[in-house]
Amino acid sequence: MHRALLVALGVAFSLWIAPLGKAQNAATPHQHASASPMIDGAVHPELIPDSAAYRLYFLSISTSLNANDAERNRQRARIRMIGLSDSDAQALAVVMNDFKMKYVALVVEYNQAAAAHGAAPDISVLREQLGELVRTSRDTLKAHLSVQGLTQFDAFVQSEKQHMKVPAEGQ
Amino acid sequence: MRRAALYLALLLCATSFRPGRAQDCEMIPAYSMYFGAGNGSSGNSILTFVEVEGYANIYPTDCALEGVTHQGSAYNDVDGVGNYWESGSAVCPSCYVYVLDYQTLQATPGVSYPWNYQAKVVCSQAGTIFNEAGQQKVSLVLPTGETSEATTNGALAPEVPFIATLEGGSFNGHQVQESSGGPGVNNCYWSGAPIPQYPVVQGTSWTVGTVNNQAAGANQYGYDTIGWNAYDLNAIATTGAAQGIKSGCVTEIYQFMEYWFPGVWDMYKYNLLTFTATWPPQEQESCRDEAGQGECGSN
Repeated sequence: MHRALLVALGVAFSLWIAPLGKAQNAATPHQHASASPMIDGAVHPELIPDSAAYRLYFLSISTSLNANDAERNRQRARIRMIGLSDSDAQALAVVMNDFKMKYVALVVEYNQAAAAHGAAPDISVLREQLGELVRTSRDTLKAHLSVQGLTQFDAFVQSEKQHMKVPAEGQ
Repeated sequence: MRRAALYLALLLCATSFRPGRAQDCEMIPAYSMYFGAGNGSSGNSILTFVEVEGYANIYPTDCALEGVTHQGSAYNDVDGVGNYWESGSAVCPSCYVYVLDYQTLQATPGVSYPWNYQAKVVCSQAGTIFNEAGQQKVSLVLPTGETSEATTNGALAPEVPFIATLEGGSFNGHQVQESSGGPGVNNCYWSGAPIPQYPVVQGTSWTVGTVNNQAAGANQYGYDTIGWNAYDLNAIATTGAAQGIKSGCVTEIYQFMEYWFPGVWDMYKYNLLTFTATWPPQEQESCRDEAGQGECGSN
């Protein structure tokens, strides 16, 4: 019996130490589970959460503070597609660029933590932060856009859901 | 021997739950894709974009995945422009990924171009873990038509101001103009009249999103003022009547509406403009729309 126990301990110990040396030299094996089912906005736009839709849309039309002319022109073209008045379009651009700055700060902070720890920080915290950022940005738009402009803007984002694909979970 | 097997099983179980053990880690991708196309900001350009954003859920959260990276990429090829992958940095597996790829194609109005788009995230170890793609035709977005609304403005009476609203896209900030669809018909004309026998449009242009030089609703422009002015209407009702012109005489003008792409005006609508002069009292009704079936009003 003692011999059997010794064998068992030996096998277990070898299993314990094996990955320690391996991890230093090569990529560590892991499993990718099946991705969360996707919601195709072209088929079911009503299933795409507003929080995800606004986040994706905000990101696509926002620019950084040091944007070059090409980036600003792209932003103008995208905003023009909404059909806003000049004053509403200008207000939207300001709010969007503020959104981008805060979004980048949150993601950079999260990624730095993730990379430094070698393990995943709590993604739910970042998700909540991004959701709050979307909410406050929408509130700011409500305060700065005309009633008609805000209606147009919201209708446009809703229509853009047809061009979005998001995971059914994790949004 | 049975007890030995139990020892072995317990120890194996303990090792499998050891934090940092890679093979215990499980990842569930949670990435999103957003794509779109529309007119560019200047010139005859089409703007397309592909965006990928998200992360991978990792279970348990304290997994250490040394050496493994995830990299997001976007492919945005419109008629050969952007025929490459735009990639973000290779980041840690639990890191947040964001890539946005814009392309601009100089296009010809009326021509459709193939657009292929794709978003993916590649794991350095497991390969592609997110992949969404599509293809469609894109073209410059032109107005498909417009509607007209008669309104009133005392300063313009008896001419009738119309507000038009473009259809088929968002066109605020763009220019539209009218051009002649040929010589009109003037049943109010008499020899020597101060009004043209074959009237045509004046060639006015408007900025979409403005009406009477004021900010207006989406796709609205105006005024397009239609009818005789007070002087001409009085001439028709007095001198013209003395020359045999009857009350209720109708004038027709043929109006082509054109949308401006830098370098070319593209016609999107034909309007028949009609105005009917009646007296007494001197009044006028004007209509603006294709085949005269559209909106009419008096001012």
